[in-house]
Amino acid sequence: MRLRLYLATYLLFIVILFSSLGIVSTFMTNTQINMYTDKCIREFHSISSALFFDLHALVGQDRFFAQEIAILVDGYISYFYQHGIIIEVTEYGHTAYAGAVVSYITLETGQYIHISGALPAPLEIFRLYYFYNITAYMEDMSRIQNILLMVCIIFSVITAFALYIIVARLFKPLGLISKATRNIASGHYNERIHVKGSGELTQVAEDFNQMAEQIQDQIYHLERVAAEKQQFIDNFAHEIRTPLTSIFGNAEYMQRALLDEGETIELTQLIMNNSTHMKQIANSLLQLATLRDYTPVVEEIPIRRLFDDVGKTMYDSLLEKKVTLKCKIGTDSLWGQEDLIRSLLLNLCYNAVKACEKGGIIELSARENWDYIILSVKDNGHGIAPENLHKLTEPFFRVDKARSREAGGIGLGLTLCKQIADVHGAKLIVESALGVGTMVSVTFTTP
Amino acid sequence: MAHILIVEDDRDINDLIARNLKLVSHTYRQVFDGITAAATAEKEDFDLVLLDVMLPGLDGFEVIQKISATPTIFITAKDGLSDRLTGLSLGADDYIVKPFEMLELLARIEAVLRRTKKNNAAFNLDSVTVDMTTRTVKVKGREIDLSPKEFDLLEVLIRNQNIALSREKLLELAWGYDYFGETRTVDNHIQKLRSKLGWEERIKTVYKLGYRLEVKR
Repeated sequence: MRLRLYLATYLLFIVILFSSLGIVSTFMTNTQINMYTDKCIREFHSISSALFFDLHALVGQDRFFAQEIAILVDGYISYFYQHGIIIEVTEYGHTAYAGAVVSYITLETGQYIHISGALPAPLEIFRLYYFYNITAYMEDMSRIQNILLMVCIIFSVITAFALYIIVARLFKPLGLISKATRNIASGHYNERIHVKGSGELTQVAEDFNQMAEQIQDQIYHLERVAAEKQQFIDNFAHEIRTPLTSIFGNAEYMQRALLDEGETIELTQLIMNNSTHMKQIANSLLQLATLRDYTPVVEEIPIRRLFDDVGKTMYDSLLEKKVTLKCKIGTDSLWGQEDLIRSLLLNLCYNAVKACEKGGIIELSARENWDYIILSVKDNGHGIAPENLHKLTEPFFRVDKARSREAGGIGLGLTLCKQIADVHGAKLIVESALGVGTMVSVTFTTP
Repeated sequence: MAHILIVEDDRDINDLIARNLKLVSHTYRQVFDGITAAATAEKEDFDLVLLDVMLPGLDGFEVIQKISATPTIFITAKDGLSDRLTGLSLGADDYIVKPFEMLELLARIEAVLRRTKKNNAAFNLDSVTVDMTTRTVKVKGREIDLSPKEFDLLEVLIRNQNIALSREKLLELAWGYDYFGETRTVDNHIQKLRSKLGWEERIKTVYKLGYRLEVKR
């Protein structure tokens, strides 16, 4: 592309340059020759008339003085010879063509303008031949032409270089774009082009950069999603491996060892517990999968009834840990799918109970703020370290692995809560301070 | 037999390992995090440490650097090659990937104990005394003749006492992987051991499974 453009431009330049040179020099030569020809014709006529008068004087008496004529003509010839003009006079016995004939002839001695013509009547039997040497002029002419040609060649060479540099400069952004494209193609998505100035290619470069930005964002997004998926699979494998090891190990033990009755009950219980744990994981995952592209069946939920239900379900675990549940109702109702919202609140409340020491307080509240309804669950438990806050909704993430497992947690509760909030178009925000407590609020941004 | 430290944060798995160790009459101590593990290993003398990699407190790789004198088997949930290599380069004697079979864990424990010569105590049951180092067996103080394979089989039974082993497993453990014998060979050797040692009631035939050397726990 670049080479072709360069060659085409250069060829065009050369053709124009040399054809104009040709035209100019032909024109110049012609003008010059015409000028000389005119001069020569004038001179021819003046010689012709001078000769006519001189001859006429001699020939007046009706007889020819051959001797005198020869002397006269020789005088003319030698006179003009000194001025670089060769003339000849011949005497025909008859009348030849009367007009003057101009021609250009090349002899061994050089180039001449040649004019021949008869003298005026009645001396028309005399013919004057006139030769004017234009060799020097022609040589000057061709020297000038050569100089012009040289200049043009020199200019052509200079132009060749200059044009090359110009084309290279013009195409530099294109080269950069092409290099950047290759880099991006080979996976260096942070590649950008730096083009100065303004112009079409600069615009192309800017567009290109924008495109690269988009691609980079997309790729990073995909990479992040893929990493999250991989993390999920790793975590999932780990999560089911532990109960599986326990189930298999205990079954293996029961098969091979001699057991007493107490041991049989203890081990079968362990196997059942672990199976239940796996079943819970399966159920939660299924629920998560169902909720992924779910549109909730929205109805008006009275807050009082919602909180009552939560309180009743939580009753046993609250009593067990001697935790107080307070309800603050600042708004009457909420639009949402009731079973999902209830399950969300229950999850949050169970987390709160787990976080609390004996005698802790959990505050369940619903309030209205700028048309938005905010549900929140607040506890005065041990809180969450700031570095863990953003990981809370990751599947299988647990702040305290050992404690959670003992309590039968499967590490999917908050993931589920976030999913429920998401399908309702709500935002789930966790605020926490170590040793002070945690507040999870769900802001319903759509009425 | 041997005194073993179990370091595993999951209580179920930890208990499971402990139960199996107890079955083959090893003694053990259970800990659930890295820091306690390092402290316990310092205070007490162990023949072997079973060490989980992912632990609260200090992870397994950090713990092993503090207890490098004791033979160690890593228990890892990851079967990534890099984890194994890291473990072995830190001086672990072996590793086992979760989920594992108990027989496999016990076999590996045996192998490490044998290699580190920590498992050579004499075995006494009823009037029988088995000396693992000299490979001699005495019944009521009188030495009796056992063929080398009979002794191998006896040792496998003792190492896996209270565990029912299939004939195939016994072939594999006593005769080796590459032995293409019939399972009847096992039956014949078991019969001989029973009569030579007077262990008709000790080496039990377990229905559909194989044989088990039953030792009172």
